[in-house]
Amino acid sequence: MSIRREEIVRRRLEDLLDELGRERPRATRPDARIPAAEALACFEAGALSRLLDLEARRLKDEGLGFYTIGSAGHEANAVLGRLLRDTDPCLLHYRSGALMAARAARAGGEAFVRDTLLSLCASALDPVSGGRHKVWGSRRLAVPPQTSTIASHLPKAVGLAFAQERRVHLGLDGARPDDAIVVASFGDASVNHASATTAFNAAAWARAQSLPCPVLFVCEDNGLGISVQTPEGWIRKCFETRAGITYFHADGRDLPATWEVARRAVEHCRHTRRPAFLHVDVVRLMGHAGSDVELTYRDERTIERIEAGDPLLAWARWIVACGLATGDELSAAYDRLAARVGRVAAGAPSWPRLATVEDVAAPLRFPAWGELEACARGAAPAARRRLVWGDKLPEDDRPRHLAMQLGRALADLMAQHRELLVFGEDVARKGGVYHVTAGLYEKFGVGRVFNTLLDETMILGTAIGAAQAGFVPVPEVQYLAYLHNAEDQLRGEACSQRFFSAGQWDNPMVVRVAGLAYQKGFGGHFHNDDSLGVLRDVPGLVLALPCRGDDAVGMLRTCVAAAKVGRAVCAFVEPIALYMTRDLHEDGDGGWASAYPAPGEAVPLGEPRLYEAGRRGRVLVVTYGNGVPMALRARRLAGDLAEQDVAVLDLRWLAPLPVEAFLALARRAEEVVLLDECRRTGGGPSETLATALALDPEARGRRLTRITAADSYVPLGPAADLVLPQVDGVRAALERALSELVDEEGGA
Amino acid sequence: MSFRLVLAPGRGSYAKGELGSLRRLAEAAGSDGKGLLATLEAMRRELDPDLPSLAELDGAKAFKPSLHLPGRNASPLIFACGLLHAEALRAEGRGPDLVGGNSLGFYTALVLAGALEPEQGYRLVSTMARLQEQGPAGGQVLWTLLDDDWNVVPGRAELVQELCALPDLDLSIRLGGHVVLAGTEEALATALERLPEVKVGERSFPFRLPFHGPFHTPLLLPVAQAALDELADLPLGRPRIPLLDGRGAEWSPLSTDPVSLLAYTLGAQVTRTFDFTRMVEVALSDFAPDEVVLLEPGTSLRAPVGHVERWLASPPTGSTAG
Repeated sequence: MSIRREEIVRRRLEDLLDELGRERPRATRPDARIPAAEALACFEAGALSRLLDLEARRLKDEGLGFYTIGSAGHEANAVLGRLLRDTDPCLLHYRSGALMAARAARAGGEAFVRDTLLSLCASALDPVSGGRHKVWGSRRLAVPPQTSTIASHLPKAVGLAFAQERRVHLGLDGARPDDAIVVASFGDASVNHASATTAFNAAAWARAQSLPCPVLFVCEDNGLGISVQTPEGWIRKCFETRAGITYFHADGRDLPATWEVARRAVEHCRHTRRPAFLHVDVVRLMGHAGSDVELTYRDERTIERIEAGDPLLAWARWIVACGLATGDELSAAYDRLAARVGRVAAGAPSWPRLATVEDVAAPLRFPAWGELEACARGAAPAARRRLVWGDKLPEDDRPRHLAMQLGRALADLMAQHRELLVFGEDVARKGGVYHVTAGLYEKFGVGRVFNTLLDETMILGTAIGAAQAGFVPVPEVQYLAYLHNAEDQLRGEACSQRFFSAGQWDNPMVVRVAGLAYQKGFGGHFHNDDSLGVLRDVPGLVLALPCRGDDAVGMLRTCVAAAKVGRAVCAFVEPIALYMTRDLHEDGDGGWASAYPAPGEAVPLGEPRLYEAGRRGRVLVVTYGNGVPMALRARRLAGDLAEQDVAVLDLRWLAPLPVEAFLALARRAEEVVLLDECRRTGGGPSETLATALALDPEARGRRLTRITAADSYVPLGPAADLVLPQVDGVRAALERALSELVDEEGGA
Repeated sequence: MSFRLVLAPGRGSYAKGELGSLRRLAEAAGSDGKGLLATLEAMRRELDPDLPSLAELDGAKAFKPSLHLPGRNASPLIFACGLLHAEALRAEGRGPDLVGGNSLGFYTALVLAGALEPEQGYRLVSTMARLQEQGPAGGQVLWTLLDDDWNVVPGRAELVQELCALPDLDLSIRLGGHVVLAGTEEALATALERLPEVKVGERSFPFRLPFHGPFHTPLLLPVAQAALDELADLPLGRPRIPLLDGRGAEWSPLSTDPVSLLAYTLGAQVTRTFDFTRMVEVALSDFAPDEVVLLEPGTSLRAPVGHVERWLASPPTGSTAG
């Protein structure tokens, strides 16, 4: 029994083609279910995909290729490559070689063989990812690349289907025909992923609400998830009678039947604008990937039985039996493709790879302020603003708290950008839990301000889809703690999109997240979560964290510009405890309310705010969020000397983190206090800043105090104060620092 | 085994220097070549009895634009030279494994691929030339995206796109580093005003292509319609070797639907941009030929194919979309 099955699988097909070539040509008996040329094109696409799978393994053996998860046995998806239009976006599973081959051939003008081989070899010339990953993708063919390994592409597929329809509904120009559908493919094991179940649920939920959502789910059922068997009949049982999603089933070895069923599924989705589920039986040949030894979990007889079910064998027999082509003609086509793959692959040793970190990370760069400024400082025409505000422009109003100014900024931005959408849990009529979105629904209507189902994964999936449909989505996640079950939609999907597509695809958005601790009325972890680390380590994600109304307005304008013009994904974290804070030092002082910045004002990306010391700034407090008013209060409480000698730096942006601005100030200070309301380990930015300080030749040696939250969840009630930085602790640190400075002065 | 790409040229490839090419190529092609030429001449006598024979055109003492450049003479002459050149190669054992061509060259490629017999190829070429001559007025202008060193000049492709937004002016052919714009006389006059005069080597751009119509634009819809009427019975079959079209799409020997091929040949091929650049990109990168043969007459494809070869080795920074 051979461990490597590729030669056996190859030989079985080649032997069959030889055998069929010896048969007498048959009279043509076309099958009414599939046009003859389409059947032959499917065979060609399947054969090409198979040959590329085999070549991938050879290239791996040669040390030239790096990816061997193949499409062998899944070639039935070629029918979709022929049936769908190239304006129907396809979010594809990694076993979609035949679908892509068929789609590329149908559209024409694609260098599919070379592009696939470049991708397998992680060459910088790969036109899809630029050598960053093996992905199926093409701008021209409306295939946004992604890795699809954990079904995390399904929420955005639903989001895209929903948003395309919304675009039509809002009368916005679309890049695609009004009757385009969205296709998302996946394996049977992926159906169990949380991100898949949430997508099915959302599609059915949309149907239940009579919202159009033309998404075609394509489940390629090979009965295995790596080595774990899917229970017999599981997919059918789960989906055949599922409310809201129409089920279609085909055996992928039966080419005309698969074509006919797939055609009906596509038409159903296109014409009814409702979700459909196409379940195709396939087999998996040659293991999960090149490194997978199937014999460790399957016996030889099973492997051979499955190999005998190779769809290309069944298709070839059927084509010849119907007289659509002779065995010789199939052989000739196969040989031509094999030779072509070999000729193209012969160039592999000279294909360049990514050579520097800068090259690898280039698609992740933050946009430069110069690119964004005009947009960030733009405004809706005065007449349109008047429709929104009447005669009472917000900039003429008295200073207000953060929540109100944020809501006003959103309204102005919605007036300025027609493609801006606001959605999330409770954001519409209710106006959000903290009233930030109050009034937007009334001003801009349900088409642009709408409630979603209670599912953060789908909120972000909808945002990705909406962004890919041309919107600038501003979704709201109600609490930071609720983000975590959905976080991969940002990390694995939204922020990776530019990386995996060498910047050719993006999904710009501004995700508003209410978060952080110190809420007086609503305690406990879930409403006071301070886990910013989860956002800080997502490559390329802009992370804004304003602490006062005027900053928030300017930063939100910049974030929307970063999304719209800079194509960035932005997280905008709003400290809940500061939403309604008006006073700073004493009740009624209004010290934390601020005037609404008139349109035209914006905060440059990555620029911090400095609250200067009265005289010298020998002590520098570096903080953000709730830490800013806390530090200012502590400075006041520490007395005149502190007012004179303590400067407070509000970072405002945690990504891009203003490290240079911080170091420039730290070099002039004698003591640095890092006040970080997040956890001591892996939380806020203070670890990074402490490291930067320690490594900076000019700032090294400065005294450093780090005040952080404990490595704990935030408990309910007064115990919360035990784990979170408090004003008294900051005051004590300042007093100690100042006394040491005075002592030193005295000593000198 | 060597894999050979053969590309056939389009209109404008038979100029003064090409006089005598047909005779030379027919001789090089041996007895099969002579037979082929006789077949084509017979078709010409049958379909275009009022016109000089191909041999007469080729053997003229001097090149006369008014004789050699109008489509009904130029197209069959270029088509015949291409077929005879390919026949000469076949006689040497260097037959094509993959074929394509620029514009008119696509008709040559149909024959070389075996999708159409030479007589019927002649009928296609002659009919299209006649219908185009009877078709709407207008023409083509050749322009370049390149400087003297073959670098893409920033802004040129954008200018072309801007011009193509004008009424009755379209991108007719993407020709490597060059582009062909086509449209009505009025639209061309505007284009010629707006395109700055530049030189690449000895060649000046923009350059009005004499006796050319507004090929590969929607202006030719009536021509396409008439062609469908006259040539509905054109016996196109499956090609015997892969054939690339003006979208860079492959018509494969196994899966080609002859009805679709005919619809393309007389439809989109006539009325939509002919993307020779993409055809060459696909041919070179996705078929990796061991040998590329540019058919005669002339050497008009040498530069565009060279541009694409260079771009594949080192992709240009500017837009080449044209």
